[in-house]
Amino acid sequence: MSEERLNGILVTNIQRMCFHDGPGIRTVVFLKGCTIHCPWCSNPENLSYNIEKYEKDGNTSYYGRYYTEPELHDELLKDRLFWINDGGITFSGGEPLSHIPTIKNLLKSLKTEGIDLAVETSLFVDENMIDVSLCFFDHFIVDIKILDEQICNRVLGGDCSLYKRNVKRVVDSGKDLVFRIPCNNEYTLTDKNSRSIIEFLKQYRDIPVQIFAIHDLGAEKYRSLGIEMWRHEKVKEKSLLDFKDELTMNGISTEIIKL
Amino acid sequence: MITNGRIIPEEFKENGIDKDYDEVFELICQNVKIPNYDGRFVHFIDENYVMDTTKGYRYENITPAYDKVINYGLSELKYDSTDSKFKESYNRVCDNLIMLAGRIVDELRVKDKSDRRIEWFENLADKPAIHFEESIQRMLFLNQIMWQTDHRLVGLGAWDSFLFEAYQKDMDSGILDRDEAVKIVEDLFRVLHYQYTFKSNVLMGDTGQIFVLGKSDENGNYICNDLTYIFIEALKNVNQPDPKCLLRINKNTPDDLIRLSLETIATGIGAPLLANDDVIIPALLDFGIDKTDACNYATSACWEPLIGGKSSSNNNRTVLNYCKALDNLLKRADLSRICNFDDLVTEYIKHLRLNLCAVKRVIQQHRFPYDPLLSVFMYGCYESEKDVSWGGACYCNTGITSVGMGNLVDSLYNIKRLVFEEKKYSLYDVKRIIITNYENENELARHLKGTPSCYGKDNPETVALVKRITTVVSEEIADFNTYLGEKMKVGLSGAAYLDAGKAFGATFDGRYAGEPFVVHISNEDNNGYTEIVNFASQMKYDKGLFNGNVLDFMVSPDFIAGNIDKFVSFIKAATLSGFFEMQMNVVSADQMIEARKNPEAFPNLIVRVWGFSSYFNDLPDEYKDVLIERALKNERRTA
Repeated sequence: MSEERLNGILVTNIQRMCFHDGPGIRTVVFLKGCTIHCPWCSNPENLSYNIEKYEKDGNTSYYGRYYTEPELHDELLKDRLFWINDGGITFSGGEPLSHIPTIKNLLKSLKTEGIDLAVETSLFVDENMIDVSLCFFDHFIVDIKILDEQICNRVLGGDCSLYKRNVKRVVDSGKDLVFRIPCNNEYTLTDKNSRSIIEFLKQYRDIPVQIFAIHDLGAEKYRSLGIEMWRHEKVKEKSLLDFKDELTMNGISTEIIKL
Repeated sequence: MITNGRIIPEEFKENGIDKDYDEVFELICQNVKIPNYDGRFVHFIDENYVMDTTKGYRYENITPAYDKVINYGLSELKYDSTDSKFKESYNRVCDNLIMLAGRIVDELRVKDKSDRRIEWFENLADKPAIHFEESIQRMLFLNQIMWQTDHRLVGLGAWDSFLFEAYQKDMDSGILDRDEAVKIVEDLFRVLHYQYTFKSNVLMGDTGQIFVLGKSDENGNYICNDLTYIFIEALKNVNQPDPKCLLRINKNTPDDLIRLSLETIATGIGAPLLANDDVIIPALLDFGIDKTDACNYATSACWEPLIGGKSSSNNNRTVLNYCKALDNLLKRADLSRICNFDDLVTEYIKHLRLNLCAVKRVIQQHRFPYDPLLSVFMYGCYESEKDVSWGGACYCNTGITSVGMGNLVDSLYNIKRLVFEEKKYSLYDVKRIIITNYENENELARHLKGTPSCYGKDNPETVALVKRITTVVSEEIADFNTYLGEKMKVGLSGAAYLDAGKAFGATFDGRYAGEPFVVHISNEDNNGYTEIVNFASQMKYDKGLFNGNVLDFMVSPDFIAGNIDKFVSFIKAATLSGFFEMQMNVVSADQMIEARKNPEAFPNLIVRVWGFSSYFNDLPDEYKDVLIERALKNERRTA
């Protein structure tokens, strides 16, 4: 295994000036590699933990690049001036918490410098990763997807009971937390799953929820990787509004967002 | 007689020779047709009786001293004696303006003896203005006579400052309330928009009518007032492309003013343009502008800073094309001696210096016409007893704009990669490719076009390269003096990105011959607007490099409106970061594509071009295409 791979942090993209991934203006770093595989994933390039070659417009290129820790540190801090009152860095992916071993020192140095840190996570990771992440992240944006044990395992490849335990762990830490639900008719908005989500959220009524319709913005990336994109029904605005109403009626503060 | 499509009245000539300025000006004041004007203000231009200044270099892009016409009666501006040709001309201008005001009084009286505007025009002869509306009327009177005498792109300047005393007085005495003031300013906007076609210069909407609002004092405090807000509110309410606004901001600008500006920008009218006093004022001071004047700067038609009412500076004398020196290098230099990237840049700089010498030689020849009207309304002329054309104004430096920096930077980096690093091509290949306009190399052109642009990236290497090049420009212009003994300035933005591109061969960034150059400081491949703000903030703007440096963003319509708080934070941080100027085009690619197909369905779609706003439908197709292509790239889509 190369030294670069041993010590490096595998990143697919660094997106600056993001408005929807935590408080203020944020720089979002996408780490390559995920513990689950959602059919509707809009970042298919972040599923594998390896660099992937792709072709676009006849040109060959690669998804993923190893950064050394100081290199990534400097790159992520380029917009520091724009985080005067709020704002900071958001780790996304893939599943960023599965990268804790390689990013732990980076997180430590960013935290020491007083940088506000957020993470977008599905929480399908070992509990000890959660414990480490709680030391560094100020904000958690946590997905709620499929809550039926079997379907979750079959479709996402995830352990739902581990997920639920991890959610409780983060909630109990008192950290700033937002739930985010990717809505699709096939899995997350089915009658059964939406009922499960509402039941699940009743125990966390203080925590705000954001819902959004899944989109096809990843189509180009699927094409470049030669992977067929999952076909899904378009989610009607009314379905989102109805779901929002249901959540709200159950005392769960919900907003519809566009990503 | 018809010149350049315009009718020139026969009486402006005698035996086929132009009459002198004084006589023509008198004829204009005597004979312009005064239309029946039922609106709130009297404002007209007799388009068939405009002075003809098309033979030489005329004064344009100038902002006259509107405060003079408010604070003094016209007779109060005159010399006591006329012992020189200039003083005689100067006094005749004042007398003729009084005569024209008298004609307007007569016309108004015929229609309605109780018309309150009669008193306003009577007072114009020998008294300062007292009231808010009266002051606006006077400024409009000066504005219209500037147009009538063929000054094009007549700037407006700091009307929120000039009018505030009268506004406050009327508010205190109860004859004016805020709502009425908003309506008055809306009417002012409508009046100035009237004769939009006549006022438009090269493109429809290119009128140069720009209000410059807000300012900084000498201690860096931010100065604004009710009228600053009212002007921007009126701009938003009226929703037309012209006149336009520039808002000066600094690190102390109140959040609510930034928010109001962003809400206005989000409507899609492309204004206000934002100018960062914390960067611009130090650049003006470095150039030798007096501190009080620097704090009161306005801009030429678009964005080139000048001192309103004190600068007879023409800031758009010519265009520096940064790609020209690279083109010359490839075609004329001994390419065998260029072995690496540093050699290439060094050789480029040698050719850039030669190119700048040619630009200076051209500008050195420019002479401006005798212009007593402008001299009356330009501080310095009365005091020095000299016409503006003899250097009478407080400042009479000159300015040039530039194009092609983005194309140059990308071309240089492409040569670096393909010639010196990957060794896939030689410099002789590059020369052949640009001379033949990518003949048999369309694949390469497509590859280069698809390579993300480096210009505007905030990596140290790109920043250093651009600074190295602009430093050369500042060194070259440092020793230049106009025929009036004043200095030259240059900026990184320019309106000629399309026209200059039409007449220029291929460049090694995938641009074919005749295609447009990159627009101002822009990069649709940017990684968030913060990246290009960081880039622009690291540029040098002193040493004469302040003649307009505009960041130009394409923004999709929901992006500002849906994130207004975060955008306020962005602007505040960008101000601290040190950008120079910023303008935003808030329009989606889909809207423009649809409007291109069905213009009649989008009569009011406004877009930002150069430094002004225009109805999309009024633009030539090639400008529409540039905007659509940029919007698609910004939205990460392809045509």
